[in-house]
Amino acid sequence: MVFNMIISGIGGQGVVSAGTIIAEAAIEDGLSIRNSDSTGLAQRGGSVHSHIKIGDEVTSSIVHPGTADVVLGFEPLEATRFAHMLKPGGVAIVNSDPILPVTAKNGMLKYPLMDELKAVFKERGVKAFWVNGVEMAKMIGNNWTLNSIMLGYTAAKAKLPMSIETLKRCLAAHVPQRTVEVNLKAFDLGFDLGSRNDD
Amino acid sequence: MENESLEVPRPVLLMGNNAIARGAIEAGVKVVAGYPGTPSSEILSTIAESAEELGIHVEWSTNEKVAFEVSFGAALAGVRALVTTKHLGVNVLSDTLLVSAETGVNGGLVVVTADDVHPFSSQNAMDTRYYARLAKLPCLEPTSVQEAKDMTVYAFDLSEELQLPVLLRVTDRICHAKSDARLGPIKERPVKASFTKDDARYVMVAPNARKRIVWLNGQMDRAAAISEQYAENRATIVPGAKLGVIASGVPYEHALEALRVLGLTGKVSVLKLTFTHPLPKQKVAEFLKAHKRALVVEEIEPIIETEAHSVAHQLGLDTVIHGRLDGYVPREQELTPDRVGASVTRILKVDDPEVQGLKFSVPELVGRIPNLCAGCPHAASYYALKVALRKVGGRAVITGDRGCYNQGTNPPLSAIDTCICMGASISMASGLRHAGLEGPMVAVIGDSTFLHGGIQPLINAVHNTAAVTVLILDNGWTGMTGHQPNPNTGVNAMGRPAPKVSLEGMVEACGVQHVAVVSPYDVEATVDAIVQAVRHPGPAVVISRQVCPVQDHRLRRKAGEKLVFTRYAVDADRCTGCLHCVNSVGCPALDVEGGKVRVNNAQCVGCGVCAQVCPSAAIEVKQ
Repeated sequence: MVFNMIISGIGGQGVVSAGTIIAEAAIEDGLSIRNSDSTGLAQRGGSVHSHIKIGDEVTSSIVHPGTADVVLGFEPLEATRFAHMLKPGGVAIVNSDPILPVTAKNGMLKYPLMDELKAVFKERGVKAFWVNGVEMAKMIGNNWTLNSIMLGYTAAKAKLPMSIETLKRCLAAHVPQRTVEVNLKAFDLGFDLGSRNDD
Repeated sequence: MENESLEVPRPVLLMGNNAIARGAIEAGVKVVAGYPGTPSSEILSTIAESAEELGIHVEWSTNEKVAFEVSFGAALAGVRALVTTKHLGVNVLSDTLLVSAETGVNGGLVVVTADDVHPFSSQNAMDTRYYARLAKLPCLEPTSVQEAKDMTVYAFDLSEELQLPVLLRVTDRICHAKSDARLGPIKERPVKASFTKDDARYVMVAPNARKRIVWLNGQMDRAAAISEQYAENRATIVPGAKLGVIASGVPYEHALEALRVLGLTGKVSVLKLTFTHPLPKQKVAEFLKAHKRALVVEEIEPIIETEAHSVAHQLGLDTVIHGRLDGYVPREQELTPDRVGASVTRILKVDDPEVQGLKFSVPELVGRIPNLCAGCPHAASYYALKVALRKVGGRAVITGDRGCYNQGTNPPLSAIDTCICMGASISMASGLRHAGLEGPMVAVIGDSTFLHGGIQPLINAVHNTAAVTVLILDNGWTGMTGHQPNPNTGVNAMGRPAPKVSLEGMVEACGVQHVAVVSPYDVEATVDAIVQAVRHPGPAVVISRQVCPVQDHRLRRKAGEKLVFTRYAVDADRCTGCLHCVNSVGCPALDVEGGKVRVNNAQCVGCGVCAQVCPSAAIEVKQ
């Protein structure tokens, strides 16, 4: 068994944390993992992405394009950048709330239209689920729960190689003590929505 | 990371840099020195976390040469010592490194050189394995996180066996990769430091050096024999295979992954090399003999490939060796499983792999240009600098340096004209001046970079009367690499209070006659100070001092403080939508909605710079 995944977003969104939680959970369930982050200028609003590979046969911490089971994107443009990594039948889970770089705010560069981004996944022939994660985080009442919601949604939509219980236990161990409850609630909310919404 | 002295039965999640740190601790390291640099920085800070408890001295040195000399000294005294650096730092420490090969060491001395091969966060891509050849030192190249830990322990043993410093060469895909790894026991090494006078060995005057060169060459012969026997220099030969892949470091794992994805596992031979200098030439020769075609994959330059050609030539082998030299491997890009796979399929002439989904085109999407953080004092300094230079007039040149503030090159700031190497801003500005340029000449350099490599250029500017302005962006931390402390911080790597060096005192001691200290959050005062400095006829320095808000807030939150920021808001009636604030400061906390600016309170830290620069006074403190 080999399970490949890309998580992408921008600095501060918790891309690396989400990758670490999944990696910890995989190890706890007795699986081998390889994980590699590209965080070069993360703190300065740059792109961040994380390769995750799980399974006994994995070598190399970089996912081969066309072999990813899942792309989890915390930001639409950053998610779409990795559409080509998905294998046929792979799924993308995308938080639909865009974060504009300063150069797009002042009109120097044009941020793509959502339809243009959706078309990239369509062209690749893979299913992409667009999730209004920010709206859901507001429902939870805590903006920092975005990646717990997205993780829950992903766990419902994709066949992750570790058990949901292990994933939730690792999530709880990773977040600050006082936010464990709200993050687990966020995970469940994402999971419920992912289980219901068939798009 | 964990520090149990017994072997931990369960694998743990480990990042490569943590693994190297753990390996050094398991090997009983006593002195650790380095200078921060991506992708190496976490090695030293990880050891620092347990240094006190384990009796290890850990320091961020002022630069890599100093770091190397500190650890080299410790190794002469018989204890185990570690140096951590990114690839560029090896240039800085190389002066001493090359002579240390002649004297040799007593305690194990391991230099971890972390190469940013793409590069993701460096001014060049540089293969530090050349230094192993230049200095005549053994070089190890682990292929995985687990091996990085194991080989760190081995590197210390090897260093003591050969009495030579050992280069442990890793790349960013080891340093920042994570995997499940098994920890080993922490060895007790009750070595007491001692120094025995031995002039023939430690006093490298020419007559002594001539003798030690003979010794060094003999040690390299011994090293070659060890490399030949080293178990992880391992050939897996498939009888009748059409291709043999020779791989070192991370590309070894990329090759295995490429073969798996292409369905070629067990059909292609692989020679894994981890002890790569001296190269195990007999093993390479036997591997070449067994194949008509070979492919060499390594980061970054064709070093093993060239040596393999030499082996083949010496033995008259007709094996065709593919790699970077004949264009079968891309010359510039980072190697990845698909790039190695493309080389394999090209050699084997496997048309369109049958595996579904492997054909892909990378989506062409607009890039995301990084910016300085919300409330970054560097952005405020750049704003003031540009205003000041417009006031003074003339064609100005702004020479930049290495640090967060090199993001000042990006739009909308676009504030620097050069960015080369640590400390180069001041000396290059001097050269531009001596060449005859007449406009304002401003060098912009951070506090840590100034202490690393800027002091001598400043003394030089004074001594040789270069009329340049030096703007020291003093945020109190080594920010770019993850907020390590420096001699200007007031705390050291071990977390102990350390005396703060006085930047203004130092600048004055260098002989600079005109020195000013300002806060960049006071825009007008900063503009005035820069105008006066630029108008000063001799070398002048402005220290723009404001602690990095990211680090300051992190530390204050950690200490339990509830941060309260001054809240700013835009009066939509007065905002004309000119976007001067967005375009001239580039603060990510400023949003544009419906043609007007809005302050994003989730990001704003209340520095107030945007309010000071707004031509319509539309940004004000919220009541």
